[in-house]
Amino acid sequence: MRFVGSLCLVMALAVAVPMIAQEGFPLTGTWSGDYGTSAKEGDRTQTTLILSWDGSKIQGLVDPGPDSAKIKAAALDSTKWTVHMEYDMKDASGKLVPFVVDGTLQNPASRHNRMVVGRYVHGSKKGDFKIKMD
Amino acid sequence: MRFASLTAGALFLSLAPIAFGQQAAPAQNQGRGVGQGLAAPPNGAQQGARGQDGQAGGRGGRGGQAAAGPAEPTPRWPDGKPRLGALPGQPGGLWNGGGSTADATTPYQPWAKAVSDDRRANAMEPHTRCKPSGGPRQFATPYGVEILEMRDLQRVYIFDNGGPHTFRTIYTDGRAHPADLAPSYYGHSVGRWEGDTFIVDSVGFNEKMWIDRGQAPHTEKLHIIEKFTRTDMNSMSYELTVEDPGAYTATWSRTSQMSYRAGSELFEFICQDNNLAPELLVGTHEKVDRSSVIVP
Repeated sequence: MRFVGSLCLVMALAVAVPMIAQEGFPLTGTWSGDYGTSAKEGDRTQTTLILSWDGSKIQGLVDPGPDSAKIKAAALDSTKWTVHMEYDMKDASGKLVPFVVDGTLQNPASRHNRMVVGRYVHGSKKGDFKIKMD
Repeated sequence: MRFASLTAGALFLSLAPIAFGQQAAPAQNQGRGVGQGLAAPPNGAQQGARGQDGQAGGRGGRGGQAAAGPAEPTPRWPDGKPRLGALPGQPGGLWNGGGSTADATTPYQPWAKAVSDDRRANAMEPHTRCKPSGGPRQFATPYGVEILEMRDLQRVYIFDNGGPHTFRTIYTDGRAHPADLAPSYYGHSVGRWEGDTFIVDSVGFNEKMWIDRGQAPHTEKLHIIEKFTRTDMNSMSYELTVEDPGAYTATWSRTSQMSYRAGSELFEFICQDNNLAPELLVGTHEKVDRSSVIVP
């Protein structure tokens, strides 16, 4: 049963991948990944970002749903492919605190392996941050 | 369990033709192909060696009759408007060229210039993965395009021969662009005549394709205007104007020439067959591996 389920998943992904190519502004699209203070599973938090480009600035939504956050500031330096993003996320006490990401856009023209890898600071916490274009 | 097995079986069967799609070649084509089982096209449109489009036969000979001596004047309809396509009673003809776009003077936004540079270095064009190519890229496909004016239906079709063997529709009935367009590969095109020039206005492009061979990245804000002026039987001036505030700091234009090959006709060209980049079709590789043996 597990094998059959895995087979279905692999086949579905094989069909889906060619449908998500994004050849325009390199950050436009849906990104998913995680961040955390360490590599331990319990320290990781899953995240989803939906980013778009209006011609002059990057806009977006982080973790669509009840606790979603709007991108307050974001920048892509295409000379170094560095990415900077700022938004507010709730901390453990439920208080909104700034969440700042500084990373590098890897494989900027790749359709299948485009990633933002870097570091984040969220209040008193900081760690690594990694998202991949869906 | 039974349902899951049936689902898996159905999925497998639906994918099997992709992986195992080799069929017996029609008898009429046997022995005429140029490698990889590619059949020679009819009507003199000869297959060339594998080209930069990543497909067997990529940019080969285009067949037809080369212009000899002074070109005949621009062919015209009874109302005096130039004909964009072939003449009645003639076997047809295809247009080649016209795919030039951006250059060093193009007013790129920084990200667009960086993406353009990256594309030139890595050349992973969607066209090689059998994606439709909108705008000027449509004219840079192997073997050219056929322009078909359907005056009674008030539309013009531009048929690709290379790539995924698709076509663009240009509405000439005076309609406007829809207010709420779902982005697509060819976008939405409307055309009108100004004197001897056919002007095509297109919007609604998606960001899944390139409008050229890599020089000009675009966003969904892309708006292009193409001006087709057939200056004689064998020549067409093609003026492209690009407006995309998502990728450029100003509107820019480029003019190039298209040439007509009388006697050439479209033939069946299926990009997915004989494609030398099958890994890219399913998204497993980042680079085209041209060193492996291709099994047709």
